[in-house]
Amino acid sequence: MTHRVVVTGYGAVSPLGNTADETWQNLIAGTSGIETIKCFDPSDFSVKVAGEVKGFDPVAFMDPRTAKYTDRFAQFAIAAAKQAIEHSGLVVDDENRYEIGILVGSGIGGTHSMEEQVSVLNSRGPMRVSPFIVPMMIADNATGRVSIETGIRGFNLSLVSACSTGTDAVGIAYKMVKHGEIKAALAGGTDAAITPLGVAGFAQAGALTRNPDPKTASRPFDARRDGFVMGEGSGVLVLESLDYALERGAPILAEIVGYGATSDAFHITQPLSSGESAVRAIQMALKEVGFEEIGYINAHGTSTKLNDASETRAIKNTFGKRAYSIPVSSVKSMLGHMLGAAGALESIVCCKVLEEGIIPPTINFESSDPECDLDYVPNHARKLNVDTVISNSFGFGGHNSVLALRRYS
Amino acid sequence: MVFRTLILAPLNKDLQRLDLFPSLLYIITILQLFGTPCLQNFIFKEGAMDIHAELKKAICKVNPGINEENITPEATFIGDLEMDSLSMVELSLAMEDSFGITLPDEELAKLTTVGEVTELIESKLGK
Repeated sequence: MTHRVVVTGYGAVSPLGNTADETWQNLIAGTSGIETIKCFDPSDFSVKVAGEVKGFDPVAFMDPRTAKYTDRFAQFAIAAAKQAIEHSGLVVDDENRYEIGILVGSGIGGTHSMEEQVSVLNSRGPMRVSPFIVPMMIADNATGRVSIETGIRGFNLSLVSACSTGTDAVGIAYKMVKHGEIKAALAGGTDAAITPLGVAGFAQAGALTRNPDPKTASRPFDARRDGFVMGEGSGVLVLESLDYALERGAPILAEIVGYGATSDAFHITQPLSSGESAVRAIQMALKEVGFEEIGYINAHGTSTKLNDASETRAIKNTFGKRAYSIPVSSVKSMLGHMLGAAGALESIVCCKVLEEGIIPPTINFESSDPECDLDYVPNHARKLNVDTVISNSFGFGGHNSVLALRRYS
Repeated sequence: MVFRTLILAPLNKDLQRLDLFPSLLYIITILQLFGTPCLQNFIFKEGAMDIHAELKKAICKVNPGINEENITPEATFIGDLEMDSLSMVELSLAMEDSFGITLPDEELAKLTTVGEVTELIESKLGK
């Protein structure tokens, strides 16, 4: 027996706001959250801009001692998870705590703490390294901390699939609830890798734009795009079986109706240019959904030359001529790329699209590229009621992950 | 370092003027080599540094948000102050910074109360 799976709450911390609602309002206004890097001096770096989270106070979400020994990436997850639980009205108690799972992944983990302690190791020696460094830097610390902070004791897993992490976490949680392994789940992703090593590493790999103008740096699908902009933050959703949601009178915001994931088996950073495996992932996600139902595609749309062209090719190969009449947009034009959090935040965006009938734009879209010739909802949000949407995420290592969501009825 | 800089910097200037620079430079070097413990012992002997107060500061640094009133000599680290084995190691690192002494994990592990650690620090400082 399988269950219908619904979203009943979500929370977010992003470069455009420290709640899901604030982020959404800024997205539909076409606002950019990208600025010159402030958390370290980027003078010596080829890359000067990023989508940093602003004014985040961890102590608003956890006690000061927990905040001190929790890396920024896990702090974001705690904040997003607590918002999501509050939004859904889920009460964790002795009756249900073992029936709820947590799947909060991270693409990178606690690189802030790691870089700080490597510096201590090199300057003061091994006896001065903090005993907290291992729990602070390991990628599962986010999901572990969320468990401690919420009292949830069911299935607990941190997924790592690069920039697909958030989508895979929601997708696996969806499968587990669907098949009755758990009644509900907190699922999402988190990352905070805007650090000297993180920025230098992505820059050296040629993945980041060197455009020093923060407002125009991220321009997915535009002919002048030349790399992504790093972002940070977290998105966490509450998923639960429809029965459980109805039983406890939870707000039903959207239904998840499909998830597909494949890999390229090709290259550690480049996508397969034909988009063949991405097509298969979309097809898997739409196993129980008609292709003609899809009214919006939330693109991975990183603003790199390779991704945006191969993603466009995959959409066209999947939907044929209909691809030209489906609005496709990339919120990374405004948020930058939140890495492991991106897919989760974008799942929340999909819920909002279904709830509010507004499609967020792809900003900085000015010059068209013959390889990118779809309707990217350029520069301005669009009012459009849609019933079924998909969200694409692709990641270094050849991950292709796709979620399908539908308006609940 | 701060003490040495503050005390010796103005001294340096005067010494040059008095033409005593070479011989006193030797004394300064000796002071720089052994300055930190000497100065600290001096400060402790004069009573300028209250060990319990300094330890309290280190405990607060390791446990932000802690109620300072709970840090009494009788308070236990693991029970009353809600610390764990990791934060005890973090505390020993903070004490190294505060007192310039090394407290091996195994020595610290034998002690359960704030008062016992204060006594250990006193004995290490030869007070």
